[in-house]
Amino acid sequence: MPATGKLEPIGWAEAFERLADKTRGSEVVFGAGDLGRGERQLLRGIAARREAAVVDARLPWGAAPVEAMREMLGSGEWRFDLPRATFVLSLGADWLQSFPSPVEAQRAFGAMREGPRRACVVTADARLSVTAARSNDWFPVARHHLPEFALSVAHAMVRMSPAVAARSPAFAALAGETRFGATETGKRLGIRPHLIDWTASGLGMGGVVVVDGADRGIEAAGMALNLVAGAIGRPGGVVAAALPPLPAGLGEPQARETGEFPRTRAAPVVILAAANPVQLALAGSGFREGLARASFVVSLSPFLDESAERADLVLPVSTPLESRNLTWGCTLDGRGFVSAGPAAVKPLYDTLEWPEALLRVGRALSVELPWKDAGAYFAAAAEALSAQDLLKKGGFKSLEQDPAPPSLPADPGAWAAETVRSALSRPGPGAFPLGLAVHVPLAFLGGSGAHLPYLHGIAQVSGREIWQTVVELHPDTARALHIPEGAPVWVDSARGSIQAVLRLRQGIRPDSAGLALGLGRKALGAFAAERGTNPLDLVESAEPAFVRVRGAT
Amino acid sequence: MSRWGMAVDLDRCTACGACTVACAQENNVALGNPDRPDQLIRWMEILPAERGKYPEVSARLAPSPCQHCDREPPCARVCPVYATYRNVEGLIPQIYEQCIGCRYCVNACPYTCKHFNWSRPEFPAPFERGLNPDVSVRNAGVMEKCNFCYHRLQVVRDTAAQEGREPKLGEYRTACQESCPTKAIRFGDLDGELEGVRENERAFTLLEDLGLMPKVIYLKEKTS
Repeated sequence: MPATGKLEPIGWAEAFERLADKTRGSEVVFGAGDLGRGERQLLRGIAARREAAVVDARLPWGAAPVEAMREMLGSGEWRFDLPRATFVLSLGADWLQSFPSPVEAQRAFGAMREGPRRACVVTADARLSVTAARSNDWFPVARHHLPEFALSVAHAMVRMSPAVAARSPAFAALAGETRFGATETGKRLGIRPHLIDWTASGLGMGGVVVVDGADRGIEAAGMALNLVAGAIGRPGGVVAAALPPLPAGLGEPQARETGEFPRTRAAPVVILAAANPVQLALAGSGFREGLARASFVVSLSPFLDESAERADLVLPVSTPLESRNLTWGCTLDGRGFVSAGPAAVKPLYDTLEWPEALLRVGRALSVELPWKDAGAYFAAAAEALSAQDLLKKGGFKSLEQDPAPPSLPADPGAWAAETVRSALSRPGPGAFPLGLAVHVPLAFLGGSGAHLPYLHGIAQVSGREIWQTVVELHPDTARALHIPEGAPVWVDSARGSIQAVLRLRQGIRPDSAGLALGLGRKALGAFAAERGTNPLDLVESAEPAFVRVRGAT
Repeated sequence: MSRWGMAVDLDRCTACGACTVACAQENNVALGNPDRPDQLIRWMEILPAERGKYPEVSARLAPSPCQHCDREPPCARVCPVYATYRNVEGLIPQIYEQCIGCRYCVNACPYTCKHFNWSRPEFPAPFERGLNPDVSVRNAGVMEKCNFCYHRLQVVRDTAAQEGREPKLGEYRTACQESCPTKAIRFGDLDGELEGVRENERAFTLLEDLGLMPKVIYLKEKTS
């Protein structure tokens, strides 16, 4: 919190002097939000040299399941090859709304619907999400039952073709338990058993399971299903990313990112880079508590968001349209790419490009990287990626290298089996009878787009409410609670309560409640501040949460 | 003479909303007032329609602009001042300067595609920098709706005239069509680029029974 409670403009030189002064001899913790690949490498490089922790402050919904990929496949750089997929099971992932690259997801869907090949897409989730609505079929499965559903599908696959068990003996052994048979599981989960067998057939004939990184249990179960289905390393399955070589100076040392704020530091200096933990941190990450005990908070952000408003020092960075862009990565089919371009418009305010801001932060922390300024950084990176022309004129190019052949451990599914087993023993609904199905509308980009008015009109895809938080319930559930459609309600969990407006829909399980993430902002101007509520106030982590709904009148 | 129309392939549409946002940005549609969400104006909307009962539920998510009725558009029939009419190319323009804001057309339009400006739209800084100079900002008290980005047709014609040629096939494109990542929206001459689309076995129009012959033609989802 700024000492005066108000922000005062200061010059750039003074700002970095203050930062150098405050960080001298202090522990530093970085919070890394939605940064470009190069900027992330820069930040992690600075952190490694300064021996500072980096906390990943991105929302887990829609993120790649990197933990499962690292544990099972040795690296987080794998892609779901959706454009070439023939059968897709979306396991709790609303990938048409939240995905690491939303535009690629939409295009991949277009490719799936192209020509005679026509992929089959099925979605297992508690609510009829956009992905479920656009799928060939929707299997209503409560979020906390999704690992069980995956085990049942694996059970059917092993029964159909016992040889597939060799791909992951540990996971196949767990899935082989009688309780995961289609009939028993179907009865427990409230879905028809033949759908489990049908899904197993689809996956067995060359399908892929799409999961996100929101829930460890679902993530592990989905990736293990991919293993059993033989999808790893297969075109149309999960393919290794062929990333371009890193420009010199952006490689090691790199600090590893953690999901939790380090709890041992007494009063660290916290430097937030495109991170807004005040609004978007999950309670279980300890980020908000970490901020509260910080000796000094710095926010690098293009906008005065909730965290920037409470920071001691705000370093305003340019928006992507105001700055040069140079990024690289890998498309969904595993091919590397480089994308670059000049600034589209001049900066509206006195802001710095991201690389410039990060290099100066590094210098304030006594960390010297090989580039004197952003211009030198862009020139060196563009040269390493042979993208000098792209940087001048703007554009995109694919790289022609093949993905490295995967080398997997002896039983890559052993970690998954253990993780899924522990997910099965998680507590179910108690005093809070409804499974909470949080979803992340594409329009709000996890809440960071809520200040853009045109986006509000498209955030509620399954309804027409706008600028208010809506809780979705099945009509039978609402009838039992004696609450009419459109009524204001309280949604309570063991962690907190928020207000919402009730919408009834057939496309949700009667034992679940759906809430969209992105509203409930406290900052970001008239179109965002104090509009709706924030479902993150209800949940401890991205793992299944349970709520109850009651009338607010 | 061209007969402009649109084909929306619901098999490809992902309801991402890019068309809605592109339309609003292109046509200087009012930003909206969070305190009056009921007065929101969007020329292109994704219409949600859930069908069936749990657990056999499906949803159709259909982008819905003005349907540009080809036969006796109800909005044009009731307009007392000819502010909206069917032109020779089948488009249904809206002449803002002529509109008296009686809102008869709102009641007449069965597709709920007409919108009334209850107040003067405001574009606070820096939103005013995004205004499209080819499109007027409407004032309070007038109706507005999708006009298939008619200003773009004028630009195409002017450019072609300057270059001493005829407009090319596919040169006139709407903002929603351009922004669609799955190419679900196609726009063009129903007797040219879109010839035969009405005869497609998946083709249907909204509220067909009314016989208004909308020029927005939907292609329903394939079954497999």
